[in-house]
Amino acid sequence: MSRVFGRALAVLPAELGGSAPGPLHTLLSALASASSRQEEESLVRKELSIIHQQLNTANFNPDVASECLVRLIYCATLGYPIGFCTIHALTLAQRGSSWHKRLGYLACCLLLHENHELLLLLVNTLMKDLQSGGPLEMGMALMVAGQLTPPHAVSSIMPIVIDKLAHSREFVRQKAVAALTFLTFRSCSDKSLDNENSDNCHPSNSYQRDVFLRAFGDRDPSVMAASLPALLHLAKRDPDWCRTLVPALVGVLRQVIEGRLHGDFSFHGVPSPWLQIDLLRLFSLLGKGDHGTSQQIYEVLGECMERARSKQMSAWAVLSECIRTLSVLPPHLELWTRASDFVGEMLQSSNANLQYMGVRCLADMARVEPGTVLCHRPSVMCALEQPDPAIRRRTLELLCRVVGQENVEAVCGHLLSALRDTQDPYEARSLASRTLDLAYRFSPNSEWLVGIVTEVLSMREEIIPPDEPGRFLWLLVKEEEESAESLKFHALQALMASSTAISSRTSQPLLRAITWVLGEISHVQPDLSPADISSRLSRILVPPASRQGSHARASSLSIPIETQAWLLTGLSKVLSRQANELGNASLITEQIREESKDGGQDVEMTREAGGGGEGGSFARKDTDHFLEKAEIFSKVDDQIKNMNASQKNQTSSSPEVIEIKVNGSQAGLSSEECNESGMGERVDIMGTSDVDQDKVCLDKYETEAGKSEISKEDSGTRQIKLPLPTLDLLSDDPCIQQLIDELRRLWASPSLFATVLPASPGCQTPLVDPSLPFLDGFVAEAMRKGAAPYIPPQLRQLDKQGSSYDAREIQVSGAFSESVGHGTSPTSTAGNSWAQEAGSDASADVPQPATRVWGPEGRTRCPSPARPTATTSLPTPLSGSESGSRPSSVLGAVSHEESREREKDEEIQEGRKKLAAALFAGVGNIQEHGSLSRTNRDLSPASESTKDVSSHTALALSTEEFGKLWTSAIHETRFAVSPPDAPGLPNHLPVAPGKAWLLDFAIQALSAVGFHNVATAGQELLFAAQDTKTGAPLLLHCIVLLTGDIQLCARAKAPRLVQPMALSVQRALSSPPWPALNQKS
Amino acid sequence: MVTFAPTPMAGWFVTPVTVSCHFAALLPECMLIHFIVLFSRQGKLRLQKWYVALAERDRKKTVREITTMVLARKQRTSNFLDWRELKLVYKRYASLFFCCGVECQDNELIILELIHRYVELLDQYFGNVCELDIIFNFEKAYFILDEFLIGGEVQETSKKRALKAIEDSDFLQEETEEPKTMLEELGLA
Repeated sequence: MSRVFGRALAVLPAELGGSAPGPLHTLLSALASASSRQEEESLVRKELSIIHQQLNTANFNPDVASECLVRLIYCATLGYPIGFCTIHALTLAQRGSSWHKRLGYLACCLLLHENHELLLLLVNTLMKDLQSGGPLEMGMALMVAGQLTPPHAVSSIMPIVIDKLAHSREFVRQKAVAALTFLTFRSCSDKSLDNENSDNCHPSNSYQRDVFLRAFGDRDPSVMAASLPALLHLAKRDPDWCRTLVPALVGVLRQVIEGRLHGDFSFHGVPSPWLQIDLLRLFSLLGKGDHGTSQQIYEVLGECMERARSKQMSAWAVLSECIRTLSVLPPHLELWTRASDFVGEMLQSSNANLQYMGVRCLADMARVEPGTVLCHRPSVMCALEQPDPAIRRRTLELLCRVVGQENVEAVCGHLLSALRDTQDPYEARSLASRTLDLAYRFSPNSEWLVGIVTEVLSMREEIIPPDEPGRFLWLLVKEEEESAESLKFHALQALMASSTAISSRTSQPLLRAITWVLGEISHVQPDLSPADISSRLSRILVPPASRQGSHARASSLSIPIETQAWLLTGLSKVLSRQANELGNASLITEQIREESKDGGQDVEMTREAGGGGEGGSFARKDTDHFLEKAEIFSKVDDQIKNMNASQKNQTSSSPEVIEIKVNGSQAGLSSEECNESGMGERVDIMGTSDVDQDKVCLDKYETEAGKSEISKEDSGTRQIKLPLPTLDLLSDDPCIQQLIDELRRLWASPSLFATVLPASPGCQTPLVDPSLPFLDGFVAEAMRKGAAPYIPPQLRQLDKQGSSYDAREIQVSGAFSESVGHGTSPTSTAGNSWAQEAGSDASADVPQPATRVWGPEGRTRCPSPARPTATTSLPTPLSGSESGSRPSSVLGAVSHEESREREKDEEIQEGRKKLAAALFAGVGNIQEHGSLSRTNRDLSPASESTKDVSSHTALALSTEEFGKLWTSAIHETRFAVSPPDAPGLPNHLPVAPGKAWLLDFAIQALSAVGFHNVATAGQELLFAAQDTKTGAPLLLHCIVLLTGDIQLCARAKAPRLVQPMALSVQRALSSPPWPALNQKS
Repeated sequence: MVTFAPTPMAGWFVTPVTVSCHFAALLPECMLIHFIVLFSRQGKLRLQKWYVALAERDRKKTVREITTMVLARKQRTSNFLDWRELKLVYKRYASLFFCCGVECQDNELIILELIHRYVELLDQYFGNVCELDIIFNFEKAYFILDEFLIGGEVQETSKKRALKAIEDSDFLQEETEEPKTMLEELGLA
């Protein structure tokens, strides 16, 4: 404590008349003289133990108790725990009379909280005081009831409080209103949190309204004022009802500003500013988007602004509230100009508080009319350079509201510099998400956008919005053709640059973005070799410093599991490209070898006697012959060099070779040909990682020969050296371990790798067949042996809940949805052929539900966002050697699914190609005005007969659900439908199929299938439906395209839902409810 | 229950402050004061009133953060500050800082005036109030605050009435306590 304070304490008793100092004073003096924190602490502890003793004496003395409580509260303020005494506060409130009671209540309010267990004891005291106490006790009790009533006691206290609204003393009525507001809306919000239904709060809505209306009509202004917060709550819930009050509210405000209330209510000459502000808030709630109401408000609002012209701060407060209300109401030109003038005055004021408020008000106005800011440009620029961070921050918020394509770079520059400067994580987080939002919305070019995103991503991890880098990556894949290439190019450039400077402090989102971009779109830059990229990625995963042993443990790495998964997936993408190139190379090499054999060239072949006994190592070649080889050979050499360069890169930091062992049995994985040459070749290539940097490229073959000799010593196994330490990782996490295992095995067999993940130029995301048909045989076998059929978790839960689904029904329903998928899909042949290839002839007999062993989520190999792809090339046919069913052929599903997907894509490609531009334009539009007005247009199903299939019912989505679905692009499937052929149309149709007709047609058809029309905006429709079994919602977005087709995007959280539903929609659209349509037209 | 950090982010804030503020979640437009604290220039807490339920530990942490932030403010800046998801409106009277935590949508100027009104009430009641008055009679300061702020809403806009209510209860005190205690004498000094 300060010296001054100590001196003051010393003289105080004398000034107060020299009487003996009280206990509180003694305590304070002692504390003031305490020189250290420790001393203070020991003093307080001593005091607390004294208080404890005093309070626990048998006979209750209210004077002593109050004395003790006062000291206790002081100790609590100092920050010492005083939990033991809360019960005494209750006792004092209960047993004390008037003054002591008041102190007891105060102690309760300060020491207890809403959910304290002892509050139960307080409730009785409260009720007694409310019912039988004098007005002062009542006032105290009401005040406490308005702060501390535990939720379960609300129903018993509420009626008594309502009775008090009729009390003769106005301060009792006023406190009763305040307490009632607290009780009603607090308890309602509790309930609404539980039940998500705020209408069922108690007491009933109309009763509530009556009560508060009565209070609003009270003759005493303070009671009336106290009812306004309650009206604000009510207005928020039911604005329509509250609008009937507008004339009365306008009258009140007019009386207030005309000074009709008693002078007591003025504050520095401004008549009841708090009351005015409450009324203005009510107006902004009620007049929002309502022209009729606003017309009633404008006049009094103008007067209010006029009368608030005073130098008083409270007048400015009222004025700023007026401006805010005005910015919410439908624009009124005259008032707007005046408001703009006032804002100018505030901005130019020398008072920092007024400047601050000016910026805030201007930001409110800019939301409606960004042009307003132009008049105040100089002041805003001044505010931007203010030393006060609060003003600067508000100014930045203002700028964010006026951003357009032209000024986005400047504004984002400001935001970024503020972001760099700030230390406050809350502020940084909001700045980061603002910057990104603006950059995405208004970016002038892709290079700039990439720059901004990379910069934000490279900042501290905790400030990066949680949806990053997903949002950015999604942009990369969904972008239209023209801009896509440049965006990808720049993204690759920027992230390559940042990948060179990775440290342990690099943020995870940036790391993920780098991983994904390098893995997915590195082909954009042709001079980047896959080997280079894979080495980069593996360096991120296992930094050179941590590569001590040959077996690094993933758990010891600093990278989180999720990022590890990203890295491994990225790696698998790059390696697949590498494998593809290798696959080609191996074929070529095979040719060379044949040639050289035929020509009797001096090529030394080292053969190993391994377990499989078939592996050949193309270990040594005469360099001279190499150089003499034909063009075809030089290609191979180039490739080898290429790889070699990158290996060197890598080995320069860590020279150890990573080896994996492939058993002879596994060697059988790939075709014989691949075994012989492919692997042999790779042994050569990979062996080079051992080579010193200085050695000439071609020398490696010699070294490799020696290497092979060593490896030969391992009996029964063949050693294949991989360039990637990554693959030798061991992880505690099963998912990571599985990824590593898969990658390792694939890498062991490049031809399989090339088939599973074909290196298509677009690097298509592999899609997974959720039904996993290659396991059919396995499952059938298991079931024949008596295994129970698999039941999806959702259905299991239903079973537990005692619903009527039994196992048979589940099978039937599952089989049904499957059969819909197989029967009508043009891809069924592909599925069958694959099944035959997989050698599982039993697949046809297996009940389909049993094949749903894993959900697609469980098998999705790629964390990158799935996207609709238009593939151009047919998949590489599977090689014959793969047909033997092996556990490791699990990965075959990927290619199967892809082939299936491609066929499907080809089918709709026609429509898609010509519509691509229009499609993206449509999506862009709807995303821009994302707040679709939800006009609930109920269309009765046109014909009941078409309502067959379905596992779905109409559904009115909750807003939250709607938003989730709308933003989720994970399970989006798209399909385009052309309108029925012209010959099939009834002749008397008045006009040729136009947009309006198509719209009607779509609405009719989809409503007939049982979809619920959620919204119609322009030529876009939104439908919702629900799975009858799981209750999972589905959203269908239907766009009528310029070309006269209908584009449908289905989004569902349950991916299982999409396919059958999409099919039933397709069917409904191809056989529309004609009769109904005809009658209408 | 509303957390100050709306989205769970690993490593973001080690112990996210959990506030049960139903009002805040539902009714952003209503004037709601989350807390009002009084502290000295040395950062000593003099008075604290919370209108949202907060665990003891979080209260302490909040007070600590706020005092540091407010005391570090330079002169000639505005009286407003951003703190987490809230705004702080503070004003210094002599050696004492008055600080309110309010919702973002609230009108900062009127909160500033609210503080001023509170100080005026204290001033009238104690007669030229100083920090010592509040230290020795903090329960009175609480009573005055309770008279015009209930549940975070401004209740009584008439100064006369607020003072009368306090004086009424003081009258009660005189009635009930025939032998005057030191405490009471200090209160009326």
